[in-house]
Amino acid sequence: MRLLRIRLENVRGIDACEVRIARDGVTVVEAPNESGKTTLLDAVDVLLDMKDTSKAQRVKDLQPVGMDVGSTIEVELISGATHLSCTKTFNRQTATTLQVHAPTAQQLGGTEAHDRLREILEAEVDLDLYAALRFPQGRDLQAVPLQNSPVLAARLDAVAGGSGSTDGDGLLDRVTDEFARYFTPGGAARKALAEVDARVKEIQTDHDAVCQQLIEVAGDVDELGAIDDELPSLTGRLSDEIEPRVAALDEQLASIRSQAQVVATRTAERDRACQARDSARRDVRERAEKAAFLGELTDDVETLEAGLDPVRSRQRELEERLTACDRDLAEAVDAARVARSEREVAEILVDLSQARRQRDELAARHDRVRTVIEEARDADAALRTIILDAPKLAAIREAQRNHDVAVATLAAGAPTVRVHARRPIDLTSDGVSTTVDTDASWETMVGDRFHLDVPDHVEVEVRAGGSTDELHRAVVDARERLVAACEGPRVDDLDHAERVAEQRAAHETTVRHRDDALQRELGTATVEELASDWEQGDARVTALAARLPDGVAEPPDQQTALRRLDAARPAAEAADDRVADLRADRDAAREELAAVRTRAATDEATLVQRREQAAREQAALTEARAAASDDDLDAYLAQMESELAAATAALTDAEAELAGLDPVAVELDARNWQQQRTDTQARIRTLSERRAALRARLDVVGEQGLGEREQDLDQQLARALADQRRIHARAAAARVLHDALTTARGEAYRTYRTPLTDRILDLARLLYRRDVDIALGDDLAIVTRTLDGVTLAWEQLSAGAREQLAILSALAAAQLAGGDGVPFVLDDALGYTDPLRLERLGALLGQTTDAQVIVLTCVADRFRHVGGATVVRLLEARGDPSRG
Amino acid sequence: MVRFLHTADWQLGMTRHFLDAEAQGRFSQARIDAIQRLAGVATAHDCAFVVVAGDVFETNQPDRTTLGRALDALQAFTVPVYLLPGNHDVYDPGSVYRQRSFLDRCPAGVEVLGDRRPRTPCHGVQVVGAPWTSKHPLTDLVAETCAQQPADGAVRVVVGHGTADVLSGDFDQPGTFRLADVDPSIATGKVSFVALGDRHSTSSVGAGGRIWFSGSPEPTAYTEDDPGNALVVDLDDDPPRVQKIPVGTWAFHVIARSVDGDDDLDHLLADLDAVPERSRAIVKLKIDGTLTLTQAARLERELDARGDVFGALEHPERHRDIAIAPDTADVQALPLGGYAAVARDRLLERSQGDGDEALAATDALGLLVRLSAEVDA
Repeated sequence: MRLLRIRLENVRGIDACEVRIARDGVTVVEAPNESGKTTLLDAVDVLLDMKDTSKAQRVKDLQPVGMDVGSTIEVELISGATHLSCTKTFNRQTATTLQVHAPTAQQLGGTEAHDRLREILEAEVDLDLYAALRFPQGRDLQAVPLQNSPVLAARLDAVAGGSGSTDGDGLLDRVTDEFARYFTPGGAARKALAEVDARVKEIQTDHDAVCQQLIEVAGDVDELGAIDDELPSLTGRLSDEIEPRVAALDEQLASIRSQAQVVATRTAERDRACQARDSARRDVRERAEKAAFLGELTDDVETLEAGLDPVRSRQRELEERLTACDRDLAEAVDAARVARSEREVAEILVDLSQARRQRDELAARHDRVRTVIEEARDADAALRTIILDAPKLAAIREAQRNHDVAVATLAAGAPTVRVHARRPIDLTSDGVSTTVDTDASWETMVGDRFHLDVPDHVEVEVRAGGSTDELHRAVVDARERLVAACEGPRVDDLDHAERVAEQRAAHETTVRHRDDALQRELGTATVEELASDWEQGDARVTALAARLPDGVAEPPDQQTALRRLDAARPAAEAADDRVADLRADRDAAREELAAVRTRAATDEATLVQRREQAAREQAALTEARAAASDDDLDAYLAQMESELAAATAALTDAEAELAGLDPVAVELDARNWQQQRTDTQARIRTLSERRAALRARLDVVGEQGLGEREQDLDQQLARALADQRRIHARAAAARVLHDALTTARGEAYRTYRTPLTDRILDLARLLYRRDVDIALGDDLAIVTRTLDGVTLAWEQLSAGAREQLAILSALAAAQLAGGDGVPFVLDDALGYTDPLRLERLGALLGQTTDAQVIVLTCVADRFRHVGGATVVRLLEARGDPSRG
Repeated sequence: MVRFLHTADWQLGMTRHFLDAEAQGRFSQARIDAIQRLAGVATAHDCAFVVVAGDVFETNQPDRTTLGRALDALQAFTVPVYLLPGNHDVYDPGSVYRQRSFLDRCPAGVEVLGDRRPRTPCHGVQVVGAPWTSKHPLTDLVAETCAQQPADGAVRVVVGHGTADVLSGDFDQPGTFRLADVDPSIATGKVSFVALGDRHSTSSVGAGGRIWFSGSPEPTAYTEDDPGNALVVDLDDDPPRVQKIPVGTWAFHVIARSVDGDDDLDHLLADLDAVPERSRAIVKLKIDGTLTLTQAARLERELDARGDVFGALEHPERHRDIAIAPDTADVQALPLGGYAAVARDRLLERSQGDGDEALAATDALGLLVRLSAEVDA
């Protein structure tokens, strides 16, 4: 495509202008900033892209500010064999006209004109290359990607030895669209494929579930059929076999129960005979036992009577021995009481002596503590009245020293006034009256000012000179400071202060010694605790003294008391031992005596009881024999034995008859058949209930249409599987075709790199005039530059180098594209390039004859080296140079 | 005059995998509508009763809609209707005929022949069923039932279901009855007519003209010879007079052709376009041969265009029955250049091999042909 003419009317700041552009070679459009250079090509883009009715912002932006007018753009261009002019008016009175001049004249208007224009552009213009070869103001300094240009690809293909076909990219776009229906750009399956698989899985799952339900239904049907088969059989067996058999066995059981009743009666009779026989046996046995028991009682009485005498003799001996023991024990107890009394007195005397000593010590400590406390209290009181402390004393001493020094200095340097009296005079000096006798002298030193008054005679005032006055003021100051130092601690002077300081030191010593003395006397105790201890000690002395028996004198010292205690203790212990021994003897005698007395009493009681019992037994036996003799009892027993034998025989006969009815077997059979009847009835009940449940379930399932649903799912599955095969086959075909095309395109682009690299290098060598090399990437953009053996990546290059190489790259592409190419547009570019290379770039642009180069610049000088350029001055091309 | 309507194999609820949802709906409704038409035939021909010889339902668990519509349609009959359980709707404990939903809504004049007790729809005529009570009967139900009938001179119609041994040749198949065992019952006058179901094509069995398959009222498969009929039977004649009444509205067609070029494709498409009543036609293309990519693409395109017209149009999948030969001239004629031509040539080379890779390359070439045409267009 070649732009031949651009005409604007009411576009942004341009009222009207028309620019004609050289078909080949360089056209430089000069204009100051903000005068509409960029507007020219923006307007061309809007005309090529937008319908006149468009409301897009870039269309609205065409309208001049503050003017409600239409913006008209006219472009004349040539592309391949087509030569056309198109005019569009936007925003107001919109209109489009297209005039095709060649190859066949055609004039269209409105939408038809726009559509035809787009058709021509899309068919004949490499729009990707057009975009790539635009260098607008402020363009990022990126390498120029050229891989999307079919024109350039075709030219490079031709240069590289190919056919030069421009086909492929449109097809690849379509194939990529098809590929994208099934796969992501990374090749992962898209939702469409997953959905078809999921659909198959979903139907398969539903189908399996329905099949499972049908299997369960079939199971129910089989079970119901089995129940229907079994139920009549069970019912028939119950009525035809089990019930009659149970009835017959019930009759047999009734006979058995009747005979069993007979056996029971016979058994009761036999038991009664047996009980009577046993009763007779018991009477005979009890009679014999009573006789024997009476004999035993008689023997016991005799034995007890013989054993009672020795016991009574031993009892008397022990009673005498116990009397002697009690007497000896009483004597020993008295002796022990005396000995213990002596030991107690001795112990009290020792304790009393010790308690007195402790109480006296506590009293002494208490007195010392009170003294220390009182002294310390007095010292504290005195200290509180003494304000003078060491710093104040030091200050007084310093003030005194300063005063003395000042006085001495004054004395050394001050004048002296001497009054010698020729007769007695009274004089007053500084308010102090003095009498000076005849020929006596009065002398004083003159300080600051001296006033002498001799009443009625003379009044003299002496003023000190300069140095004396200063010395005097120093003395006065020193005195004032001394007085001030003494006022604080309330002392008269330094001597007074020294005395007060000595008093303070003495009081502080007293206070300090108080703490030491209290620590020594009290330890961890308090004064109150010490006083309490003393009182307790005194009370203990009083208590111990009170415990002493009357008439006992306190020993003179503790040693005497201890000796008395040492003598009393063994005597008391010996007396106690004697008492214990005698008490043991007495207890042993007392214990044996109690045992002997018990034995004697027991034996006597037993003897009495045996005698009485023997009398009762004898009376009872006599009475029983009177009622029934021993022979009568024997005869009755023989009769009962005979009756028992007869009852036993009758029972044996009845039992034999019962056994003949085989009750065990009959009972077993009866239980078995009754159980069978119960089981069969239960089974019939269970089956009936199960049958009802199955019937109900089948009725419910029958409502669900499972069979038809299974068929439907089966057929859905078949269709889904067919869809799955078809879609996967289509996806596979799209992938294979896409891969084949992209692989081939990648290979082709690698082939194209050589001729493009060569063309860029041709230009670069002319620019750098040095050894230079470049490398292109798969997108045909420059990735590295090597200059004088130093290789730098694109990003590492300076802004100027990147700008120059980008321009060279685009220029090479424009030159390679040739007549099928598009305008190479530089809009205020080369701002980063130094003058030398600017000159060389101008030369390179100037020799371009097989491409259209449009340079828009506000710095005309920047492109003055472009030889043969067509120069258009925009302001001259515009009708009204004042606007813009 | 004793005249009755013999029909069978309604197969209500049947679904077909080659039908899409819309066509399946129409196909199913057509079977319900056929009941109404049969009722009309019974009335028009003054039939005394109707026998349905098995497989009234496709399954014992039909959809409730199917069941409801069937029972509703059965109300159109004004004469007794006898339904025989067949092998699809066996009279087992789970049978549709035992379900509450059937029993509660079954019209008064409709009776299920669940046992072999004779029914008397009109004076002097007995109808005896030979129902299937399990999926795998252990005896010859039809012959056994016929043999059990007394030779008492009554007009007796035995209603059975199963394949005749003389037709299937498979004597071991469950439900197959032996013609030789049935004939004596007919010869001795025990049975006047045997009304059969299971075979969906209308046909007579044996030489006496008293054993008939009515066929299904609507076709169900490509293999059926003469479906879509019902039989009006006059028992007064000897042999009985049997009229075949067409009631079906759908049709199955099989178009078998070898296609090896554009001419064959033209003929195939002409055959397709000649199919009548296409919205109720189910067509299966049985085609084989070898097509180029372009021809295969054309076939696919043409079939896609007709797919919505037919009730169903089944055709073979690519590569299964039709070999696709990507001929070099065909593909190389595509207006491709540059790397696209390189890619095409490589795919052509890969398509000449064997196995899945070659098939994938062929499919890719087919796609290339199609997309190239779209881009050019």
